[in-house]
Amino acid sequence: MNDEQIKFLLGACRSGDRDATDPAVAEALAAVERDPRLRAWFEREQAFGGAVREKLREVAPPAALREAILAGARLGGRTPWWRRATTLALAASVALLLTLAPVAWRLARPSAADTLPEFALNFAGRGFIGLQEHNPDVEKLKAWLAMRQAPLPAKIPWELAQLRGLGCRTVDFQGKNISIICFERDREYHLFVARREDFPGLPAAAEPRFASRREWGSAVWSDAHNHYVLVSDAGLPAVKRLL
Amino acid sequence: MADEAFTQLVEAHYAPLFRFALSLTRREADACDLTQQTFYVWATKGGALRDVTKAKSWLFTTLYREFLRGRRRDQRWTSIEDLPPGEADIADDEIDRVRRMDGAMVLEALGTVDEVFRAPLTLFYVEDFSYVEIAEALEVPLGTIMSRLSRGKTQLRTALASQEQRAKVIPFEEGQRRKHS
Repeated sequence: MNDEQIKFLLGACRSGDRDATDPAVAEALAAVERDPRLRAWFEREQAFGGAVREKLREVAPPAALREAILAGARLGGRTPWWRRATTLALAASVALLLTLAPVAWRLARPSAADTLPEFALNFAGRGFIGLQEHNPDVEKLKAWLAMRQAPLPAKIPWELAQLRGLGCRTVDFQGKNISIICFERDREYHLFVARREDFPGLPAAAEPRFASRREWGSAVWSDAHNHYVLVSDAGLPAVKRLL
Repeated sequence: MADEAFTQLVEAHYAPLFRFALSLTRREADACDLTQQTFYVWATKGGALRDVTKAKSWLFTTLYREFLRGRRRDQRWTSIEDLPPGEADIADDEIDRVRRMDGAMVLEALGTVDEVFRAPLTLFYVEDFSYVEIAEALEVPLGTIMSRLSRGKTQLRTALASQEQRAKVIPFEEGQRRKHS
């Protein structure tokens, strides 16, 4: 085994790793022990790796992430949702899947070049909204959004307001704050709310404009303050029935 | 799985999973979504995992799979694999350079490494994964992982050097303001 081979084998290997039990790695480590020049090289490699490792571990997750993961688990009542998903009948599991993540990453990821309706479709189409607040009471969701100075719907269409609330979140799009309120009735419906002043280029019309993409349906409309985009994988007819 | 066990699983792995996700997506919000999505997949499918000692590896594999599903494949992927290694030995000042930086700067440098190398490199640095564990987590042959780590480290060293150079450059206006403050 020459020096190049030893360096290749040990370039990202720590002496205590599982890899040290591999015969080739063990042989390379033994060669390092015998050769002071290689030993110095290996020590510098280890020191460099240790320094990078230490710095990367300084990066902390956002404070709310842990709670968001656990809050997702609490959604759905007293019985933990992951337990129900593994122990209840298939129907319950399917319902749960629909509640939390009905589809997986089917559409392209949101891009800054999207228009607001495209962004809404792409964001919801990823299949995981990542709700920051869970509550069936839409008024409480609005209060949560209000506390964060997020756009608030002036009026939610009556049919839509009859649906059970799931939760809400805020999201940044083109540097502007957008509110998302999610509803449920068999399928999920996501209402995106954006301030009109933040998106002056988007035509404002009180009458909804409908569109569909694959199984998704969407509606876009505006009032004096906001633009609204309602999207759902329940399909365009289901969206139309709510407006 | 009981509440307590799930909470422990989250406690033990959400931070390193987030760091791995952040290195892949380079956006905090996407990294949060990806981490949450991983635990969601665990909740719906992880119960089928009989050997709980493999939970950590399973979570990292799942996160990586979810990431790959969510983005279009880069055309550079194949050609990057063919680059020659040509790695020079690490000098002492390179180690000192890293020590002078903060975590965010190192993460930013890591973010410039090509994705195909970044994933194994992050698992190596953030989670102390061995070659074998990285190969298992990313579902890539062992020899390929060694090669990617070697090339990834070369790119990271270059990126760290550029990062420090950029940090040293003070814009003219900033320099002027400092003079008068």
